[in-house]
Amino acid sequence: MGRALLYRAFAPTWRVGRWYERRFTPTGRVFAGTFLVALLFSIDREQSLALALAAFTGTALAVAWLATLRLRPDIEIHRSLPERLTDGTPAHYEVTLHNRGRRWQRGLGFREIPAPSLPDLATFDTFRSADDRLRPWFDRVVGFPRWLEMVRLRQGTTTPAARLPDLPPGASITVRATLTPLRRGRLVIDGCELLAPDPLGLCIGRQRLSMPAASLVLPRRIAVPAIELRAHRQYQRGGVTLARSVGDSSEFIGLRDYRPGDSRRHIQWRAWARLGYPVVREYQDEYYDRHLVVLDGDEAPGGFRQFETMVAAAASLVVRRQPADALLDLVVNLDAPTLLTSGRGIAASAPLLDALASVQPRPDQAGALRRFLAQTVPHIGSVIVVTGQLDGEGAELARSVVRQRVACCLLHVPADGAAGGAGEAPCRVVTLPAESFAAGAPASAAQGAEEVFA
Amino acid sequence: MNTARRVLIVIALAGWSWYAGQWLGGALMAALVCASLHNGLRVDMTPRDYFRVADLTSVLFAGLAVLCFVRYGFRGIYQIMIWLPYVVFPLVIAQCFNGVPGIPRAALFASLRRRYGDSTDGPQSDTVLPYFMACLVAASVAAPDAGSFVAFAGGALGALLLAAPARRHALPVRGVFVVAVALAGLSVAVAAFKVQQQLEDLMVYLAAQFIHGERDPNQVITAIGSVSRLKTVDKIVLRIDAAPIPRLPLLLTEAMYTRFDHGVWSLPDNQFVAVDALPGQALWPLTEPARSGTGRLDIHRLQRREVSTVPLPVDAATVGGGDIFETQRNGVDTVMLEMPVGESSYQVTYGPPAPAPYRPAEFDLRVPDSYAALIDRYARDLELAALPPAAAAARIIEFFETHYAYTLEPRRRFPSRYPLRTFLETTRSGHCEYFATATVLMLRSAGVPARYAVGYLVQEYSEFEQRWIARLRHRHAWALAYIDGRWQSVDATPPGWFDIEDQAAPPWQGVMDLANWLLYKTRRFGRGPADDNGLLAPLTVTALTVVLAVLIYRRRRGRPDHRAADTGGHVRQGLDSALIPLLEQLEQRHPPAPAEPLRAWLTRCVGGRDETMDRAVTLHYRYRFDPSGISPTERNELTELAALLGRRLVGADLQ
Repeated sequence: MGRALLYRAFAPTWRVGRWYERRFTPTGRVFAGTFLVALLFSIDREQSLALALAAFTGTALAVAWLATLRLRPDIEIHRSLPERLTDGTPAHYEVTLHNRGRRWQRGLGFREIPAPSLPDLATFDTFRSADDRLRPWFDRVVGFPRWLEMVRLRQGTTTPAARLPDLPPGASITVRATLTPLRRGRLVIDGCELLAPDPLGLCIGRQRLSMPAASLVLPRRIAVPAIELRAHRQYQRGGVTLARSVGDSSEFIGLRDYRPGDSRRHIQWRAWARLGYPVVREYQDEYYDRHLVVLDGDEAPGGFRQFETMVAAAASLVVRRQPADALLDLVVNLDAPTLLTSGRGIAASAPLLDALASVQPRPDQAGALRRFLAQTVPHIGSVIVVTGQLDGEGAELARSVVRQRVACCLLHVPADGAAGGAGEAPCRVVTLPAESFAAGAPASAAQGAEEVFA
Repeated sequence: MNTARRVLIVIALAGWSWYAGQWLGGALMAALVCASLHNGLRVDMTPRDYFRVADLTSVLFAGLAVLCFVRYGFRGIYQIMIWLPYVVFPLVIAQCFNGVPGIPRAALFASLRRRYGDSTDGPQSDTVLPYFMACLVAASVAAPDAGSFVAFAGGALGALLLAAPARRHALPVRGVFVVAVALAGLSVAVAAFKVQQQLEDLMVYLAAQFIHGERDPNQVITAIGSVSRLKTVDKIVLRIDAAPIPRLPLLLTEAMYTRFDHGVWSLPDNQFVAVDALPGQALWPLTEPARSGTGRLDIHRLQRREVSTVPLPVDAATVGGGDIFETQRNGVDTVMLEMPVGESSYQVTYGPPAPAPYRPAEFDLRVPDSYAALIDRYARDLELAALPPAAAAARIIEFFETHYAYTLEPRRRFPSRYPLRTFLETTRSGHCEYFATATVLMLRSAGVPARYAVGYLVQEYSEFEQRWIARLRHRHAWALAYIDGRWQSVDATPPGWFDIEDQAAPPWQGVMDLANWLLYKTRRFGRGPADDNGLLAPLTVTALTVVLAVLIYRRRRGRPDHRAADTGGHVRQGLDSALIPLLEQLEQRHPPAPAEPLRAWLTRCVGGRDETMDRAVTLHYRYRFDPSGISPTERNELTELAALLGRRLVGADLQ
């Protein structure tokens, strides 16, 4: 009850804080703070003349605010966000502004407006922040800083304002803007806004322009240990072109005599009738290396932060340079277990990263993933299971791989960078180093916005 | 960190040190800020260095907070604010000498220290602007008068706004905006002060109507402003039946104080001792040896605690009554009675003048060091030392009546710095607490033992209740001087104050009086005489209709005509003085300043002062306020003097 009430207060507080940060310049914030303090001290008029100070600061803020209402620069803006960004990596793109008015536009600022996304109470309760251990007791108990961090992560990016050069009437300029994603996934931008300070330098006038755009933020990459697995060329029915299909290949080469074990579906009945002995259709076969990266879709015990590091580790494995004749497969739980393949001209790593950009923990799909893996593994030379716990679903996946006599390795991403032991693991275990763990976590919520109108 | 920001700090420090009286400290800090401009004095600061400086600031702040709250209680927060520029200065000067735009925010917050440690990557905070504003708030707490502070605050904030970097608007445009803000801010400040005063008066009025009680017997201090803050409250707190009619104005002393410092009167030795009752009687003698007084007062008041101090005449002889359980008295003749909680009454006999039971002590002659030079100068100018005590007191009264005006401003309680100096040298106007304090100190400077008394001035007669009453706004302060072997009241407050406050009474005073009277009757029900109780029923039925209607009707017609010659009431006496028509004519041409004393007004109009005017005014005052009036001869003399004065005024006008 109390927690729910507290939670209800978070969003209004956040909105007021955001309004305060966006609406006032640093000088304006000092004025606003002084106004409140002076009001407090002027409660007892006999003790102080702070009311005069409150009157002056309040009047200055009111005049400044009124002056910002006249901000209507006639400016046309074009900008195109990159289709793909990488978590934690600043992305630069161009913004073109055209002054359609007849006045110089000086001292303007520009800022993107990401779509806000507030978490519900259940989501918030499951969110664990590594920064909590650095926070004071009160902040940990109340949880508002954690809530702020979560909002910022869901929003996907901080939006520092960029200062624009002076814009003559009728002229166009192109400026370079920067966007730094804070998390992977889909980043939605509602629009952008032009900013202009009032003549007193206290308030910031804002003109909002609706220019929706979206980008896909790929997982960040981290340093993962080198994992040497046995090279093992394997018979691949259907060859490279059909390597992404699970099951028998259907690229027809010719007919041959039936051998025990051949699928009855491949029997060529007409040829059998004509020749008098069973004949089957033969399809194209190839032998090459094929490596599989499996992302454990179970809930990570370390929560959001650990799972993000697991994804970052998987992404880093995916983009690692492979032998020229090898294929790299990735199995992740999207809506259902999905196999994606790259290498040897089939595809680059982009589709795999796209999938990793959207993957979420799916503990309900654990059984499906095991079954899917059992079907896939016979064609695979070696398997790396990226998991967050050595005694959970990851170990089960590894065990099922080992049972089929396929080389397997567990890449263990321990919670909060803690050292992990091999324990009863069914195969070799490689633990992600702590420094990689820190780099793989999403950016801290403490990132502040650049002050343009300081 | 540029030069402009350092200049801003110096401006703020100058204002703060001016108002807080911290010249040396302010000059030193400003000099340090200026010195930081010198490149050769730059100091490289690491985050850890800032942590140490911030820790020092925290320790200073904690120590200051403890000291201020222990010494001043809740009001310590204002003292903390005054001293804050000293406390925060280490952080600011560190930033100045480091020459950076901000200090690590981790220095200010422990959580950020854990996060960023010694790293320089953390967020930064500028201390200059907050420090600038802190100095302004501190100055607002220390500033004694609104006028100069408003000018300073407006100028300082204007400088800050013009110094801020701005690329979008040219300097002239910003200048126009700053001037507009200054003018609008000034108007808003004036309006805000008025609104705040009205709200405050309303709150005090409401609070006092319902919760004000008697003086706390353990309250051993009273600050200037303690009385004046009640000056808008009309609640009746004393009802007095007198026999015979007392000499007006009747001063009832509730508490006395002996030591003055920093705007606060205190009583170092407040030990009360029990007084033995006369054998077989509910009567306690207040004199040694016991005697019975010539006058008698029956005082009715609401007793909110069982034991509390009570207002008594300065020459009270006995106190008694069935309600009293015990009587106590302290070393300065403040009397405390133990009575049942609720409406209680006690009887006092007083007069004739008798030697004081307590001789003056050394502290009755002490002038605080902070005021010694000032008070001595005034005492010297008035040649008080050469006069007998009674004449010295009279000269002080005359001095204040002539050169000073009565006003309820300033009403600041626990005023900062030197309120009396401001009163004597600058404003030359104030309320009773200022006049009484100055009188006590001047008398002491002249070698006359004196004390500070707080109580009530009784001068209003309620036609409705048929008794004398004292309202909360009749609370008064005056001096008690040891003259001719006894303590005598010396009230140097210019005499018009009672009427000034009376005229400021709200229109609903009659209604409130009626409600207060009904409440009083209800509380007395079952405790007073039978006839008293018997009146209650018909009066509660009829008073709500008839009396209320009469009072409202009278209010709508305006205030009762005090100038009617045939009223014969005590408070209307003397309004047919021969000087009054002259004053009415004079008022048309040369209206007096608010609360300007009569002598000062006439002197201003005539262009000089002489014995004729003095005599005329003295007779007028006696005729107007002295209950015993003046003789027919003196009245004729007043008429002649008034005519003479009228001719002089006409002559002055012609010139």
